[in-house]
Amino acid sequence: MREIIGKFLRLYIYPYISYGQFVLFILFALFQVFLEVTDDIETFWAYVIFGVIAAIYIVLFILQERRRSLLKDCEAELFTVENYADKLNEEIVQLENIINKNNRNLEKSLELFTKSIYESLELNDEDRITLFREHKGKLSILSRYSDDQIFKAITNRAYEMDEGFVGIAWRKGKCSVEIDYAYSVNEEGYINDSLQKCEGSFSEDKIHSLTMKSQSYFLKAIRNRDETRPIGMFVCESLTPNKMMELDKKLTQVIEKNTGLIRYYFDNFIVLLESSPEKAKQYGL
Amino acid sequence: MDSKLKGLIQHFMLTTGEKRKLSIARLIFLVYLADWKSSLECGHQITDLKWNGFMELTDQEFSFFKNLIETGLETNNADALDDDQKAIADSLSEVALLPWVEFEKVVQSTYPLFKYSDAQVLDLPALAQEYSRKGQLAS
Repeated sequence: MREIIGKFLRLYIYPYISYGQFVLFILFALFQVFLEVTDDIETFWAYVIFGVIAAIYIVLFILQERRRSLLKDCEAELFTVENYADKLNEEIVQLENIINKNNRNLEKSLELFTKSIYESLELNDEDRITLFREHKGKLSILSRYSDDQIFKAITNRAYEMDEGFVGIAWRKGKCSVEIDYAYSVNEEGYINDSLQKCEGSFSEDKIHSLTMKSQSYFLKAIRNRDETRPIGMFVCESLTPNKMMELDKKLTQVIEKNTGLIRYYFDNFIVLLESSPEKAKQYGL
Repeated sequence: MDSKLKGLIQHFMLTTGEKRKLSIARLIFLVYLADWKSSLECGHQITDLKWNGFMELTDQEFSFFKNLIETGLETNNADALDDDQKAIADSLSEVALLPWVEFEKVVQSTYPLFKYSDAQVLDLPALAQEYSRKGQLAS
């Protein structure tokens, strides 16, 4: 009730106090003039009207004082809030610098980590490693490494989870594939064999558009800490036939050894995962 | 440091800096975005900075940014930028005011960082040509 009255006073009374006082002042003056020129009114009623006008005037005066005091409090509060906002801004600026520095260090660390796996497996420029992370119903590339800069470049970050060999490994937990033909030698054979081995989950056009037409694949799903569901994917592929088959045991060991670290990276790269050329295009970049 | 860089920083500090305090990280990214946009539209960077995938500057360059943020520019460099360059810087005003995470996503979404995020050197004009040639990214 007190709050309602306070709100009513703030909204409908305080702003108009000055006008009220002015009107009362005018009424007061007019009444005096009226008394000067007429004898029609009894003295008693004249006192009553004077009394009422004076009482209203006093109430308005009290309200005005109250308003002045409230304004003073508000100004003091505003000053405190402004100071607080300045301090918060300072903190935001500092935090932006720290977050940026940490993110860049984390990115570098991930790059070095992927490279170190690549090197520990003694891979070469015909091979590539990619780490995918599940994000918003798709598999997004978190990190990729190859000595070949074309294979290393990320052209499309997000992939459907039910497509290609990635889809099979996502469902089954692991997938190893050897394509019988090299794309550069027998394009048709490569496409047909790939289509057959990915169980029809990839279109011919998509296979043609792949930057790296690998012949040997190793894919392993990375599961969450409770081991209840996959949250990402490790993919190692090569243009060299049967290479992943030969490396299978070593690859499994490397992943098992580094699963904890991979999960850590999975938890810390939302910005990268949510970047897309479309986002930059929105701003003409 | 080249006068274009000073002019660009002054421009950002006067426009965006009035609405929100700029961090060094945000200012560096804004200069990168201006260089990238200039590469797309004019075929060359505005500044002479050598960019890399991790957005690292040399110690000297970083100190330069840091000093500017802390002490401001001693001289007026407003005339260092031509009208086109000022228009490019102005066009970034919306991005400049985004909250940090969104802002960083936009920066990371630009073609050079999206595709070559770990490159030691980012040749922005060459990448702008590559980007324009492709029109859209192929998978």
